[in-house]
Amino acid sequence: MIALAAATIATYLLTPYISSFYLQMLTLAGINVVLANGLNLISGITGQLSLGHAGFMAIGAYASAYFSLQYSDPNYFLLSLLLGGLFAGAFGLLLGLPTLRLKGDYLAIVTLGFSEMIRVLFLNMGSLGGARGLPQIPHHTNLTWVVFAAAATLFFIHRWMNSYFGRAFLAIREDEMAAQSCGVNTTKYKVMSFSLGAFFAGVAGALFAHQLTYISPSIFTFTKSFEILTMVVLGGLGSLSGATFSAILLTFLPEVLRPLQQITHIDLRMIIYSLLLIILMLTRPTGIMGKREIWELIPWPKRKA
Amino acid sequence: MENFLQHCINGLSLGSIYALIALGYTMVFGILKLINFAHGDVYMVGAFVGYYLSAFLGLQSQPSMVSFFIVLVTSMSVCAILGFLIERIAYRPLRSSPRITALITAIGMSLLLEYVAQLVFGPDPKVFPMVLERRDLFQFGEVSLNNYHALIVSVSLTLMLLLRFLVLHTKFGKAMRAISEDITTASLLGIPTNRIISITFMLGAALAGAAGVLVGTVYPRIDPLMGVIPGMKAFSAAVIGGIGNFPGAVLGGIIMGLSEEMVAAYISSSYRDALAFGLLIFILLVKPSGFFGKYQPEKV
Amino acid sequence: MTEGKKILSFDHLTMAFGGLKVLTDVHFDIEEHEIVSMIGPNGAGKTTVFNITTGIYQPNRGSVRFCGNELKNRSTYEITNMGISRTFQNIRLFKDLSVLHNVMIASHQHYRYNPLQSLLQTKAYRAEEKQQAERCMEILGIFGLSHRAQEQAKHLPYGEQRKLEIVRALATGAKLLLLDEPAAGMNEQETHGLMDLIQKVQQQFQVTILLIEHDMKLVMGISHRIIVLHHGEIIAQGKPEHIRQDKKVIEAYLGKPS
Repeated sequence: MIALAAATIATYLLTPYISSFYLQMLTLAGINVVLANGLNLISGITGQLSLGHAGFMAIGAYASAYFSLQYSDPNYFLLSLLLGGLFAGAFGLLLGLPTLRLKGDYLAIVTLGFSEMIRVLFLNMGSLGGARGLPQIPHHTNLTWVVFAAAATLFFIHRWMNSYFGRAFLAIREDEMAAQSCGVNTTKYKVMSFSLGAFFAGVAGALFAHQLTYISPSIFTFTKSFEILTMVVLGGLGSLSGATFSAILLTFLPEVLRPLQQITHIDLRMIIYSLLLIILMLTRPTGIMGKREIWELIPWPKRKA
Repeated sequence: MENFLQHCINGLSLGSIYALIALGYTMVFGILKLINFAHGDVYMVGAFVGYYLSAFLGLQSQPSMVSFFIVLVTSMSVCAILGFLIERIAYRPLRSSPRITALITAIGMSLLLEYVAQLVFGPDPKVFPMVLERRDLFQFGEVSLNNYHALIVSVSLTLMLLLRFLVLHTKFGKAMRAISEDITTASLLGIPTNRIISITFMLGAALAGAAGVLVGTVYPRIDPLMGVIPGMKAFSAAVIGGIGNFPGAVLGGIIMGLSEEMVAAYISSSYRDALAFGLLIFILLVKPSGFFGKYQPEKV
Repeated sequence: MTEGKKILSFDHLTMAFGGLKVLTDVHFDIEEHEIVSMIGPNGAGKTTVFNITTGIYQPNRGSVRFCGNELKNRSTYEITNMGISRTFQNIRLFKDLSVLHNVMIASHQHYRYNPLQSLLQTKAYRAEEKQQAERCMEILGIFGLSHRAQEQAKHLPYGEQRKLEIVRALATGAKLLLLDEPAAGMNEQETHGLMDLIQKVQQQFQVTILLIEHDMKLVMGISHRIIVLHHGEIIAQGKPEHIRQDKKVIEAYLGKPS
């Protein structure tokens, strides 16, 4: 908790000293950290492969943007963020319900379908800009907010995993039938995991909207979901530190690659991502960290159980 | 009434295309229990192979059935090879890996094909050259049946019947069905599982390639992402019919084609694609085994 | 043996999958604190009985009652919380989780705090975590597994994995344990250890045990009663000495003399 406060304060104080390029990159990185860890909660920790994370992000983005357009006072930003998260979380609940009957591959397809339907919905919603998008969103996001959100996300998930409900998530991932045999209401916890993961995606979407100041349905495509999935898989499904690390890495990667690119920016990045994923699955499917955390690898004295 | 008939004809041709692609999904799922995300993109490759071949051979200056068949057969062969490579490189090594791993790989493969295609072919849509002239065959008042419709349905039907013969009346087909039931036992009985699986992939890919050429011929606009939505729809069709079940895939394809055409005609064109997802989600929630599928409970 | 309370009652249980009849009119009771073994050739329907009891399948006809409460239409986790837990034929431990975590998850229903308390790590949360962890370590200690507490379950030797599964089932606080072929893959020495373990479990924790087994030494050695299933029907039940000599049982296993 101290770390959370420290990081936030430090960022607030340091912000004026960071160049605007790095400011933008770090802000984006922070948003990706929130996104990746939200998906990690659903897919890595609870083991429910979700291909529709962009959909939750979209809901959070649109909900909070709409609110901010009505109440643009920066003091309301926190409220706007929370609203985005809550709306997304509510949809997460909705998406969690099919998990009652679907497993693995089928569930993944349904999550993809839901996400696409959400996107089509926004495409057809004239009041939110439709295909032309929603412009002139107040630029409330800054690095301090993003660091706060990222730190809060990590803090929350970390504490969550040390509780009996967090362990229930893990049990579901490991073996759902055995989890049920141990008295875990797997449906309830699966829905919970979708809802929580969606909440974080929603907050990330809200931060994103207020950073870019313009959103449109074409941002929240399956490609976006895939990018987030790549981050989680690369870092290791189930590892907080892994997801965080690879979120940051993959945010900076396109910039590193820029000098190499003569053709369309997006294409090369996606080719690398998809190749990366395939090679990863063939060689080291557990990702960089596997299911472990970086602090488990450091041999410092263990606190008494 | 006449309009309705026209829509039926259109829907039937569209459905035949979906059926061809759906068969590929169902075959691979039946034999490997894997959803081959990349299948829709093989269809796209088929269309592009046809495009480049026609240009290379200068076939648009002599449109004819012969031209068409040259393009069709070549494209199917190239796609078959592609199918073989995909299985060999990306799926075979993961045969015993957890399902999530294989699924992620399939997704990666699909995106790889799409974006490499964009890189190599250029992202802009291209016009498929006319390898076969359009001719109206019948006309009752407002309703017209042209040779394109007939071509799609007849080619699809022929290929499907060939496949059916292969599956039901040959040793290969028997081996394929055995592997679908239990791969370990099949291999213990001396069935060359790897070879059969490769051939299955090749067959499915060839069918997708054929669909690609048919679509290119009839609706001449092609682009590297053309496989995404039809792929999803064909997959939905396979699920509706009962994934793993061949007649089911055909039935599902026809249903998908007809309902899409009807929705576009009588409700709204902008909801064509949403329909496919809606149907898929509906079926998965209500009867995941589809029309003809088997309920496969987890063994405890 | 004195007449005990009936803890589990199978009431004319019938189950068919499509046209395949798996269980026909299975009808027997289990009394509190008994150790009962279900034996029979493979495919006799023994695991199906377990699956119905734990809510994985719903019977076509008949019912199962636990302490008088109907188990039909309840979900698996509900049944576990009522006091029945099981082990599986092919071990279903939480492989990548530690031994301690496996047992802690089994204690799931006993934890008493809410998300807010866990987020802030209040005194109540910390006390509860400590108490449960101690209880879990205690159970592990009784069965000689406490030195493995931090190891991943998948790294345990086979025999200890099987032991852990039983310990985990015990940790749910269940009054009735269903053990599905606990001795599978064990050698003679390990089986002997298992026999002691099962009896210790029954005595120290005052639980009732119903087990499926093929190992006759184990079955004859620790069962109070044996139930023999064949083609989905009960063909014999009673004390081990009687079952050993029962003609129908011998026929079922060895076939009719020609």
